[in-house]
Amino acid sequence: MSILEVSGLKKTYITRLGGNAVEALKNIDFSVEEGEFVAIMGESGSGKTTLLNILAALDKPTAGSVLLDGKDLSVIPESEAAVFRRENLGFVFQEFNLLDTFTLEDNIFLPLVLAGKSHREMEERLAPLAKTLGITELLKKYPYEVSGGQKQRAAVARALITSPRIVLADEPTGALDSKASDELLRLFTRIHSAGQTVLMVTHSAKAACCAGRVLFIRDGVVFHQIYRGDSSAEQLYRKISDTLVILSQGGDDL
Amino acid sequence: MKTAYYPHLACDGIRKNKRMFIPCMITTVCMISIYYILCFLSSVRVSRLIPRGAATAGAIFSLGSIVVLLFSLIFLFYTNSFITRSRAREFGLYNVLGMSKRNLVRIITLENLITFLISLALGLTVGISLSKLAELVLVNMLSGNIDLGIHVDGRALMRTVLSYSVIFALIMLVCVIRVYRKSASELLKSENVGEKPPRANPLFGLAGIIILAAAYRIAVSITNPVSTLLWFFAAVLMVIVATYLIMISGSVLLCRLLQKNKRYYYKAKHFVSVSSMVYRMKRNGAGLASICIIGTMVLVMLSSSACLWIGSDRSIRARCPGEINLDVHFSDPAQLSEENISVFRSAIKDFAAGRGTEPKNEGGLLYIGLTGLQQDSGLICGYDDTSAGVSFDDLRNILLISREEYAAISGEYPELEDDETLLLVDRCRFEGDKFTLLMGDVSHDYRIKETRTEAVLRDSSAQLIPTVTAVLSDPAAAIEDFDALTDGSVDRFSMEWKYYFDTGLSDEENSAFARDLETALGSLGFGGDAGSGYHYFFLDSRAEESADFYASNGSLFFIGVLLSLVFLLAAVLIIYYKQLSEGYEDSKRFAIMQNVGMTGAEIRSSINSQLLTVFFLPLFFAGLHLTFAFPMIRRILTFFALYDLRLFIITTVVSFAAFAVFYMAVYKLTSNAYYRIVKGASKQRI
Repeated sequence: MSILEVSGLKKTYITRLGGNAVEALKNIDFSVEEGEFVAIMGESGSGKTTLLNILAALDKPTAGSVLLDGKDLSVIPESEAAVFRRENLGFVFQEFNLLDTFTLEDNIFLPLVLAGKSHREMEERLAPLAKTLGITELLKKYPYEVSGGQKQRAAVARALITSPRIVLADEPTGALDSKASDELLRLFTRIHSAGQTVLMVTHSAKAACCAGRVLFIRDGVVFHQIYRGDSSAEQLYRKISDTLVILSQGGDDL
Repeated sequence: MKTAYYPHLACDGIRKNKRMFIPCMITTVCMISIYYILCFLSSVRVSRLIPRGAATAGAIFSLGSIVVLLFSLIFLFYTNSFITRSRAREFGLYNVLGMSKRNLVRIITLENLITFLISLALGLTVGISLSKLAELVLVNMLSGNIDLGIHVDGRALMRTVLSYSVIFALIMLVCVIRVYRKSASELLKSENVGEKPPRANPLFGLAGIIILAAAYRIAVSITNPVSTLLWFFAAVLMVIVATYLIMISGSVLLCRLLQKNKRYYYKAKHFVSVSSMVYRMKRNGAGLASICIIGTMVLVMLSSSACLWIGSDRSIRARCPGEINLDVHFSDPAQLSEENISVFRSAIKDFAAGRGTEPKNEGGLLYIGLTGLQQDSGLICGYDDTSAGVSFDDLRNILLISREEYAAISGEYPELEDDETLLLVDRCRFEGDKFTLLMGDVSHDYRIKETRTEAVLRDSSAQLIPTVTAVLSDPAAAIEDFDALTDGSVDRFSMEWKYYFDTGLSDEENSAFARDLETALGSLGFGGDAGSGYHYFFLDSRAEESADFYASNGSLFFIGVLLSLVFLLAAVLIIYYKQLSEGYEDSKRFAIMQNVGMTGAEIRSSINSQLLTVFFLPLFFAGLHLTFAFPMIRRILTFFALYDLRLFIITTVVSFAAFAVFYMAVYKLTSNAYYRIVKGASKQRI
């Protein structure tokens, strides 16, 4: 069953000067199955971020619908959007978005605190998660005291601790060095194999290799998609690179 | 083209940062105008309009203007450093883009020059237009002559321009040094430093609490008005230090303790507020403490100066019970005779008749005055000055009067043996049966026949020290031995006749009356024998006294209000800048929280609880400081002949209420600015 269904999604911005309409998303259709790991690739300005904002209920589409578990996101009123996000979605951002006033532990607890969970329950949920992510020793530290990779792992923990229906990751490796990136991607693979649905927006072909399916967006439409199928990581990598080359050359014959 | 480039950049810089520049300019305008007004009021022309006490008023205003100037200096430094700090990034960028430090300095100088010139022009305009109003209010308060012409005082103008130009030059210098000392990358980075979690030193917090407790103890326990003043300054210093320690360290400590309490901490309501409060307090503790100190200062100044001003009339009545007051001092007990006094009485009567009036509402007392101690045993004695370590609370004015005097006051002629006394106590309690007069080796004991609570002199409630009056069958005999002991010098005790009456004449006539009567009495003829005549006398009219009194108390109040205004403005600006800088800092945080799933309502309530706590902490502490300072200030006010407790309570409460309302208004205004910033930023998406 599809956990996420996007159909006919359209987003038009009116620029502040001159009132020109800019079409960020023209017509996006795709769906994500339960337990799937999907990567979305595209160049800057292709509409990736707009798409993610709409999926996260941070923005409303101009037309079209996004169904999460059959529920239409665009009908959720703004006041309930935050609660909806908290209960159904987990986020991992490029810039980690950890609060510098909190320890890593408190950062991870934030969604649970907002949900009004008891402290005992929080600790029970965190312990196994922290072990999986290898941050048990770091929990009492502040974001400025740990490395980027460690920060991102804490951010992943924050995204997972609410057991969300789907994890949205926005360029999760964008601010990491290659070693930390590799580690994080291994982590995503492990999370995915444990049954977590993940949707990742990325620039990096290497990151996209971890996914079971890669969607390519150009000029506001889904331009192409690649299924991993039985191909090895190397084969997938080559396919992705080829597609990217075609994308950048502006060709539209795939 | 090139010459217009820098002014253009400077104007642009001001316009882009108007959120910071405009409040600063408004404050500068106010300070300059207030400084000009104070200089103007202390000028010769205004002092001519004040009936009497012009010198006192002038001195108070010059002093006040110096305070304003000093405060302006400190304050403008603060705002300027705030502005340059928060613009460091902008300067850093210019620097990276190829502008040399010299060019930067040129822009900064131009910016400052423009804002300064605008502020100066506006400040002088406002000052000059309001100076007339200030003059009218002041002259009216001191009941002087109203003059309706508008004047510009050239010297005051020059002084204002010069003083503030110097301040401006100093600020410029510091600004330039600051820019030169930093490298471009430092400038670029300077906004992002200091994200370490604050580690409060528990010792500092604890020390703050202990010092504050000690200061409060001093304030409450010191009863001796003479040492009050000294202790007051000690307590003020301690309170200032303690406030800073508590706000900076104590509050961080408190937040840390709250964080330790998991049940409390991990609640949506407290989670965000407590953790960001830790940071906020560390960075803003000093600012909050300053606001608190300024607030307390304003409150003390307003309440006490208002109390002095409103209570002037009563204080004057206490000092001058009658419109004309005579105080004759004698040097020999034998001079304390009814004959001597009647010489004065008839001379005054004759003099008054010459002015077409007669003494009305007369009152007076012939007495021997000593200073004594009331002790636990119920003993009162004229004490030696060798007795060190005397408690001020035990001091008493002791008046010895004859039965005839008492009969003149009360209409009752008490039956007394030679060793008996009738004791009249005022504003103190006395339980004992023995009254002792003691000086050196000589002592006289009297059995107390009866003790009554009664004041023998009108308005004696205004005395600093309570009075005990002993009615004796022969007061002169009682001190004969002392007289011999002290070689006839009157240091240890005084022999006085106080006499006061009303004339029903106008104030001017009364002043003249007193002056002329003084001359007339000075040439009185007394008999040639030993018990005749007097030592010296004072004569004054209430009209003259009250003019002096009003001049000093009125100008004190006036300046109290003006200085309060200056300090309040400063506090407002500190608050405003605090809100601005915090708004920018917090906006990023709240955007993250919104992404993680915090609802708009939750963000708002969290902001509210933080703002309220941070904002009302200084107000709370100011109230607390004021409460504990109250007994001490009351004692100090007694130096200014003010003893009206109720009035002081009222002025204090009213000042605090007014301050709180004002504070609330500022809170509303500035928190709006804060909300706008936070909201604007949380609109940004991922």
